[in-house]
Amino acid sequence: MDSMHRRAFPPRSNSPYESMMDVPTSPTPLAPQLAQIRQRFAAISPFFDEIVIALREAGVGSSAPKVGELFPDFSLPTADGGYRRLGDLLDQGPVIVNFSRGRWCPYCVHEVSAWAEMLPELARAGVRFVEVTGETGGGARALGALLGASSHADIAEVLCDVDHGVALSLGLAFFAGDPLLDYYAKNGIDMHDLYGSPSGFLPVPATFALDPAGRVRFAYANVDFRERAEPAEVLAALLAR
Amino acid sequence: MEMHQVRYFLAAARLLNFTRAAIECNVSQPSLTKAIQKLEEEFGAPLFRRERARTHLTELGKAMLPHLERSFEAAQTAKQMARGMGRAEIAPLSLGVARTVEHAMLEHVLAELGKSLSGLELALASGSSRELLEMAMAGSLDLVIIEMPEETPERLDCWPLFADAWCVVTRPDHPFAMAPPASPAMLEEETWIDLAGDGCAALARIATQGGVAIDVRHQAQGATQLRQMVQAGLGCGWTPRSLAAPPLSAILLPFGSVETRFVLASVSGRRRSVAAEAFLRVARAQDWARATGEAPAEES
Repeated sequence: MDSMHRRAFPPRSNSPYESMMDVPTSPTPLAPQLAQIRQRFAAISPFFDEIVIALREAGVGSSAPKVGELFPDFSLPTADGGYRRLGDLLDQGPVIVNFSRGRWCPYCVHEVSAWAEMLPELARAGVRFVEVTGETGGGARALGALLGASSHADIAEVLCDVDHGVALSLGLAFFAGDPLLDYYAKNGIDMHDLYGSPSGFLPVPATFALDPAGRVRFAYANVDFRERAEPAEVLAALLAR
Repeated sequence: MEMHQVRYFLAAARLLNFTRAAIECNVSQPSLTKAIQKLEEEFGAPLFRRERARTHLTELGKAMLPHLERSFEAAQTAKQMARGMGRAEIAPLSLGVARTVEHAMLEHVLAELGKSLSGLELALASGSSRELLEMAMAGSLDLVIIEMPEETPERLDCWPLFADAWCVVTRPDHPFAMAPPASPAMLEEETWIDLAGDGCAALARIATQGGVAIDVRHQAQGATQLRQMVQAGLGCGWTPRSLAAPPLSAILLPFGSVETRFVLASVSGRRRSVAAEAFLRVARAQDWARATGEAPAEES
């Protein structure tokens, strides 16, 4: 598990020219990183494929908000004991809302790390980033540390979707099913402990970019948890006019 | 799964009648049936068993009912909290906190909740864990923070918050503060002050195992009272370690350790106020263990 938490930062250049020319740091693309994890879990791929196909056939995640729609407002617990309303963040500018499963999932860890790398660029563009996780008992705080939220406290935050309520209202919550739950249990992932409930519900990983009016400019929801939206593309879609 | 599917399921599970559930949900019965079938497809098995005139929940349906109920409530709460309740709207929360609990996180979460819910009307109750549990079961408390009951009533939902070790609380000039009691016999020579309302039960058990009996003479109604009584020299206290604030000393017994798991508990299936739902979720989101006995630390 340890290696999954390690972040792959691009090598830092000492060249003074770089800062002089104010070249935006190009973040490490996420897709190749995800492909690498996939490679590592190659043996289990057919099992995951089967589950993903079944979820897709059942239409899981298909009713999630689409581009052009108004994103419903919500208020969720923060990592430090309060509540945060999406609408209050939108009052200050565009917001990217990212739903992930949590820090136990290697794909999510890489995704959140990729977003962490993007935070300086988001800050420059005046875009806020909200990571939503269902993990309780300090899960949001742990994910916040991974995101480096404290060093970008004004634009990045992790909210806790306890019992997957917001995920449900967006059509993103699903019952993982016994085969998948058994697989995770065998690999030492205690869902009950992580989510504070034995429900077996999980969120579909999803990314939404919202303009200040709360209208969806970019939407991504994929039951194949091994694939995620590319952060640079999400930002580009949000900034395109 | 989708909100409307879950809403139809919950109505059908409560009424055990698809026709009446459809009327209540203001949809045609075929739509309701179809939505529930979609849900059953996702769960991979039937949630209802329909026999002639009667409709039952299957075992799977029974197992999933509380989870679907809870996620549905979580969705409602997230929406209601976002709508921002008007100042005129009262948001009552009756919360029982065991006398043995003193936690900076609790104060912090309540303060934050007050900011988000302008109509918050907080009724705090104090007592022994047993008393508070009874009050919760009787319906006079929404939520309780108590010691994990040895036998959990079936209708009670418990979420672990943190664990704490019990210790002897003394004045700093007490002999125990210089050197912890070496044997149970030394407990016998002391006068004890009860806080939990159980007559220092765990300490008495340790004493009994050591072949001695303890003298529990005084009783405190709260942690502050207990500390004052200890400071006044009336005897020693027996409390979770987080309650032993300086200048008092906290002494772990070398011959018997007791740890209590504190839980947030609520009676399952009972309708709670928005404030209670909101408190329940923000409390569960936090890491109480990390913050035991300390103010919630700033992020480093």
